Amino acid sequence: MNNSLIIVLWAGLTLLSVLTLIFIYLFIKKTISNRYEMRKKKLLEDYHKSDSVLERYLRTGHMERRMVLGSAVEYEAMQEYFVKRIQVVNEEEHQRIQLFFQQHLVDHYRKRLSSRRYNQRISSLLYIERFNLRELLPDLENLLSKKIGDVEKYAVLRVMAGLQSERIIEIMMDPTQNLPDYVCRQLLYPLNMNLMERFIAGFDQCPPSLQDNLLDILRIRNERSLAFLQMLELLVNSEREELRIRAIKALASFGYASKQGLQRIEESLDHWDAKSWQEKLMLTKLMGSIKSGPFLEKLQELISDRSFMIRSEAAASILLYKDGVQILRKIEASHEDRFAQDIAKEMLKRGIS
Amino acid sequence: MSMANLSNKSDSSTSYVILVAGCSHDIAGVLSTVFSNNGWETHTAIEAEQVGKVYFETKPDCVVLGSLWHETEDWIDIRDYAHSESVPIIFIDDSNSSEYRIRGFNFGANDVLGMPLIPEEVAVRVQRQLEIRTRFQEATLIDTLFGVYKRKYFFIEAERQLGDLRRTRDPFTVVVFELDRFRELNETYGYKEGIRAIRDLGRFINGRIRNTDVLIHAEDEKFILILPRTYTANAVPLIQRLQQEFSAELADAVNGTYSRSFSAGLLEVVDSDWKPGNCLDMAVKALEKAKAEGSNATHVFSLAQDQEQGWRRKLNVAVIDDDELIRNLLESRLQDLGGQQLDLNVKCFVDGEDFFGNAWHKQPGQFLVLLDRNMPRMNGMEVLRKLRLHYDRSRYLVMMLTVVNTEASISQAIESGADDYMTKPFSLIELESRIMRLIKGKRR
Repeated sequence: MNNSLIIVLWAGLTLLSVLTLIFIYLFIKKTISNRYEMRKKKLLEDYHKSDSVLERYLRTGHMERRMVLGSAVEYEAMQEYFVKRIQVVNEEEHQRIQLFFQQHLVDHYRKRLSSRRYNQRISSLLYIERFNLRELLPDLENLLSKKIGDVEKYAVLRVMAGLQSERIIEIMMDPTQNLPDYVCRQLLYPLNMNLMERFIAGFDQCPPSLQDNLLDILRIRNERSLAFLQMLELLVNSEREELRIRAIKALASFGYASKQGLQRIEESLDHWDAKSWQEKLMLTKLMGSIKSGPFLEKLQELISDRSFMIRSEAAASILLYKDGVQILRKIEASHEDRFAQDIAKEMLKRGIS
Repeated sequence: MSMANLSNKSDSSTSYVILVAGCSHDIAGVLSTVFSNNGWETHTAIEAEQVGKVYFETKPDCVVLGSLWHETEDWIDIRDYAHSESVPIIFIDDSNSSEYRIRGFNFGANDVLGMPLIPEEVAVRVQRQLEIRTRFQEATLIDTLFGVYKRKYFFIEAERQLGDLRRTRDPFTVVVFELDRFRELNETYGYKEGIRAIRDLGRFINGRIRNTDVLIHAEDEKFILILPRTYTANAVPLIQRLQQEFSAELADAVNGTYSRSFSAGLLEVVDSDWKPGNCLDMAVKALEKAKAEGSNATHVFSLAQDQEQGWRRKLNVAVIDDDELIRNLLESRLQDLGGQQLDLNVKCFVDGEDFFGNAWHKQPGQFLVLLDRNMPRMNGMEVLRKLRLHYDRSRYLVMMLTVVNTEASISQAIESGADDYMTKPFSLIELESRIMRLIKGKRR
């Protein structure tokens, strides 16, 4: 009886001391973190002052000794401050911020990239991209070679694309990478035209999904270069329909075709019946953007097409021609097909305000 | 007079119209023969009421009045109309009495012919009166009957406004308006009511416009209003408000009151190369459309819809860019811009020296310069500065189209006088709408 009482007592005491220890641990941890936050807040407040050491640096470009960072809290506060501040800077200040990060924070991020903690790696990616730390590209490539999950891999690739890494070309052209479409687009979008031209030059070696996305991104970015134009003009006759459609769409947005390119499309006008309505639709759009006599004739034929979409697009394209209004008026008044008359009427109503 | 040739009507008509009024049949016969031998159109009327009607239908250049008149209200009205339009009145004195002649001159005669009527003398005396009238007509700009400017003043004022447009690029609006159902009104209430309605409309409008606006009596029931520096978008509500107020003001008639209304055609003059006659024709076309819609209507002339050959807006477009692809692209794309509203003369230059070295850039007319920034020989900023320093600013619109996209360089270009700035790569649709906005001016 006594024994069991003692056991219970001991057990109770042990539990109490464990709990007390946990409480003390948590209390200390909270105090430290509070002090950390307080310190950070104080630092941020200081930085925000118009004559703070950072603001003076942004104005003059003169780095004071006080700017050299020591503690973790200083790193964090400064990086937080600059991430916000970089959104409202002029060009000169932007360069100064970048210079500062390149000089003082590269090692800091390098350490964090090789950290074993996922959070640290991911959060440093944000700053590496934001402050354009190209010095860290080898570290990023290194990180890729390690065993990391897809989410982290795509994040690293995005940063590499943002930093205009040439390695990205190899990676993207590698069919075994199997990058999803959305990643492909995210990677292509920030790439400068020099890198894009490399894709254009090696277009045939690109995986099909990269080909499609490349055309879309170049179109969305309104890029216009001779190499791109020549490629588009060839792709209009590509074997793969999806590629043809995207090339035609891109060419329509480009708004221009060389004499030979134009001739090639004009010659294809007679073989249209075999084409899908999607391709026909894009070609109809193209003929409104790039204008020629045979195109206008074809459009007048297409305005009585079976598909409403094509009739409508044909009417819209005709309207873009110099005497488009008159042609549509004529169709409205005297075309033998009632559907053609209707669409001409509607387009005239919509087109002229 | 049909509406369409309002602009072609000549002020000094070569063939005169003579109204022979209040004469006995034999005298009227003699006079008609004399006048028609001289190639003048002759109308005859006897009773005062009929005389008034014929007067307003035929608009005579001279009234020859026999002895059948009296100092009654109807005849006094006719005399007043004639005087207000400086139409001479020649009396025929068939009694050959000085008393009658004095009575005639007191009533307002410009000349009196005695008996017997000698054809050559009649002809020469009427001719003399007609000449005086013509000279007087040419010298005056005010329509005394209605107290506003005469039709020919439109051409003077329109020229002035076109000159202003050339300098400031601010368009002005021409409104042509006329009383609705004027013929019906004349037939129902008599010509006097008709005249009163025109006068009321003139006064009504004159009392409600800005003092920079100009009201002109075109002919009969038709007026022209010039609104300087006014877009039609702003003029339409004004005209519609006036229409509402005017039709709300009831006019008295013998058997109660009735309401009158007017219809208007508006034209926004945007091209300083147009001629006043063109402007008037276009505004009249708009008025015809308004009339077709019914009474109390307005219609705005729109180039896209009421297109006629020769009325297209001309614009010279220079593309200055060292990139051949961009030059070819813009040259082929811009040709069709604006459909039938615009007649674009596009020419490409590889750099500033090429542009200034070519006499093309000095031809008359308006220019739009699409300017690249980085070019080998004379770069975009140099071209811009030279254009702004040595050329008429309002004639050369400049739009920068360049890869240089730093804020400092954009603000530098805008400060140096660029009208717009677009960075490459550019969207064609955005570029085209920016160009259209530049061409159309500040309206939108």
